[in-house]
Amino acid sequence: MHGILKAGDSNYPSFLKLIPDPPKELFWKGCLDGGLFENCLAVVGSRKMSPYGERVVEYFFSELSPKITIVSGFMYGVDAKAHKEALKRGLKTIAVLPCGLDFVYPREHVSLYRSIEDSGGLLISEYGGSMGPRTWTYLRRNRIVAGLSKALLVIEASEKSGSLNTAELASLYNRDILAVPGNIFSEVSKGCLQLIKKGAKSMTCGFEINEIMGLTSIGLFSDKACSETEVSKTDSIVRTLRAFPLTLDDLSVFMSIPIPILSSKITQLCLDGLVVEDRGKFYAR
Amino acid sequence: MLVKLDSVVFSGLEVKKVVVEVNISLRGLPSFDIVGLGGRSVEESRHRIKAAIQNSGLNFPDKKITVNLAPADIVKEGSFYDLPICIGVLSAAFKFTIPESSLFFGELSLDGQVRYTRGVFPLTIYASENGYRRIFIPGECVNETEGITDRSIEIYPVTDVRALFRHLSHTKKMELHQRPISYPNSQVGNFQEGLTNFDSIVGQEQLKRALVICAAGGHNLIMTGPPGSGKSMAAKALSELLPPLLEKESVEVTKIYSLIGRIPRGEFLITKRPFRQPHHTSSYAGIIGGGNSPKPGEITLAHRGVLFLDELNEFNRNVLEALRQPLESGYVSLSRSGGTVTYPAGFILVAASNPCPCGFLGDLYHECRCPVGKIEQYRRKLSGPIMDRIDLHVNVRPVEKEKLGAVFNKAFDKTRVNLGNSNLFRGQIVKAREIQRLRFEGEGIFTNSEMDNAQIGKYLRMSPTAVSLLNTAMQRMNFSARAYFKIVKIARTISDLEEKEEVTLDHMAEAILYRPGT
Repeated sequence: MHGILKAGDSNYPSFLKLIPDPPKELFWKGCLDGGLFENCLAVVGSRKMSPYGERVVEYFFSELSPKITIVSGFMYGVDAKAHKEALKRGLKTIAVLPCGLDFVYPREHVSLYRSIEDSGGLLISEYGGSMGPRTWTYLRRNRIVAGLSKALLVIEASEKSGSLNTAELASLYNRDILAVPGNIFSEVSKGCLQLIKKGAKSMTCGFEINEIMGLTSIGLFSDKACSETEVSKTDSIVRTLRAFPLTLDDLSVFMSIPIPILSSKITQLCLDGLVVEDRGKFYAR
Repeated sequence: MLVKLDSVVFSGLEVKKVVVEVNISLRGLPSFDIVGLGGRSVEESRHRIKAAIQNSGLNFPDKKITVNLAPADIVKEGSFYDLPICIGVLSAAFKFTIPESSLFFGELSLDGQVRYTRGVFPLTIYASENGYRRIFIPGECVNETEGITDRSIEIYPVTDVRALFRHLSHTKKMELHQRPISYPNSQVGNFQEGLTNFDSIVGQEQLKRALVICAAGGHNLIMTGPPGSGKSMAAKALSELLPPLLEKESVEVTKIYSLIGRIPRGEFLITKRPFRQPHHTSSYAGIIGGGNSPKPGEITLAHRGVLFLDELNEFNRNVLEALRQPLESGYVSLSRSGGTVTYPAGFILVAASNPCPCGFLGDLYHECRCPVGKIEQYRRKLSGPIMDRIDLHVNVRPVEKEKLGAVFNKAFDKTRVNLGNSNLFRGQIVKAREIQRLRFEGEGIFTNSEMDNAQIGKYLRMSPTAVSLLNTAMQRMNFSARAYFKIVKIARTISDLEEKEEVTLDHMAEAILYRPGT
């Protein structure tokens, strides 16, 4: 299904009406269902997401209330991960495109585009047809992402990034700004830490987000606390990597295990899904 | 008066017989013509021959001379027809007979001297295999004949036309080349001295391990990492780790190098594995081989050795794609309208690549400033098919400066002790290669990396746990069928390094680590 939402229409998202310059028309594709715009959570972050960010998205989303709609910008990294994870967990999701609605950008996301369209998600844009993205359309797009949402969650962001621009807009529109604390040495955590210093709420689990959005159910909250519950396996490699991600060399030195033996162990951990590799460094999940 | 004598023609490394026919006709105006599809250098040889004969104090016959190079439908290139044509002319003019079963080969200088000529080594092998009894070759090239084990063949080093003329007309016999009874053993089977590059790699234990596996099984390797992480040094270190050429391999390599005239003076067999490092601006023909009558390219010069491609992403796309076939088959076929030439190209590909255009993605001290789209584009340049054909994929990180400190060095030493020192590595590699040589005796291959699927089925024994681990990995990591066989071959090499008959779970798990997840 597809169509156009006009500013005066009854089903035009109410939160979006509150911003100073709401789009006059919104082109949409997918499934426009009544409650879709009620509990929107914008999830934004760096295009260069680290495995930490991935883990955060997976962890948070597993605890989010099913009433929440995930809004994001259909870019590489955090955006794409948020859309995918939402689809996987059965959460509603809205992708706000920086280009004409029929233009799939980035091209690699064709299959994501289709699956959002076909499995109950929604794709929207201020622009129709097959117009390509421009530098300024990204910034215009950010205002829609911020405007649609009750709260905005920044997963990972570097300094001077688009995600911080969206966060600024959201704070201008009086929305809740949530940020995930990260490693102080990580390039993609600097933006989040900066936001937290400025007063953004730091999030450590999905239930806290439910609460902030007014969706807490007491029963859920009590037994599954915000601590490390999953994977309590006592593998010393996993424990070490959880403390700090390391390269194979460093891990070998740190744990005094020769490379051939360690290589074999780490592969098995990777296959069990306990450890992931990213450009030579290993991270515990 | 008609004289016939034998010479050869090279088509790639293949040698074929050519009969040089010289006819001096008593009638007709004086002339000197060469027919039989001679190339430029054969056309010009008339002038060299005429001058060489005159400058040797002999009379050039003022008759109608016709030379035919038979078979007349194969293009002949090369200056080495000078000597047979010259001797043919002299024989017809001065009426001496050419000894039976002889081959003539060599380029002339205008003063009658016989110059260094490319291709003596393959020529001598051809002569010995085809039952020739004597060969006449340039005196300067005589060292190249010493690698031939056949002692029955007589080798005449020819210094100048006059000496050969005297020999053939029985005025003064020429000295036969006296070859050493056996090879000086020192030249075969020894490692190069010192392991300077390998020993000076600080840390990077995973990379070193990959180098050892690579050297032991002849696997291809790609290193990805920021500038300054020691990729080039690792490639050089690999060539130090490689064991010397086996005798059979040595003959193959020597043929190639003799054909391009690169046998060092005074040596007879190349025993060191070649290490070739062409720049990324090198042309297609320069790397793959080419030209009108195709010349060998870098991949052929790296046969049985290492082809190191630094900055792999910067190489021309079509060069990279053209590497696919030789990587798989170990040879390259170059087809021209005149025929197909096949050169061996069984090299170990060692490639180095930056992780992104600026090179700093994942670096601790520099921030990567590349847009994500650009990084994707950069990676896409190395097509799936090329990456799929590389067995070992290793991420390299620059050594963190703090780690060069004393405490950490101690820690590194500790792991090194666990692993064993560089001599131990060489020992392991030599043993692993020996195991492979014995395993593949009669199969025509030397290393695990050369196994085809049938041979994998025949020689691979895997423990059930190893098989199930591999199957899990195939599903989880979405590997291609080719990747499956690559992993299995690496696992075979790892177990050979431990001198184990069976591939165990640990071997398989380590092998899987060297495949990039998709």
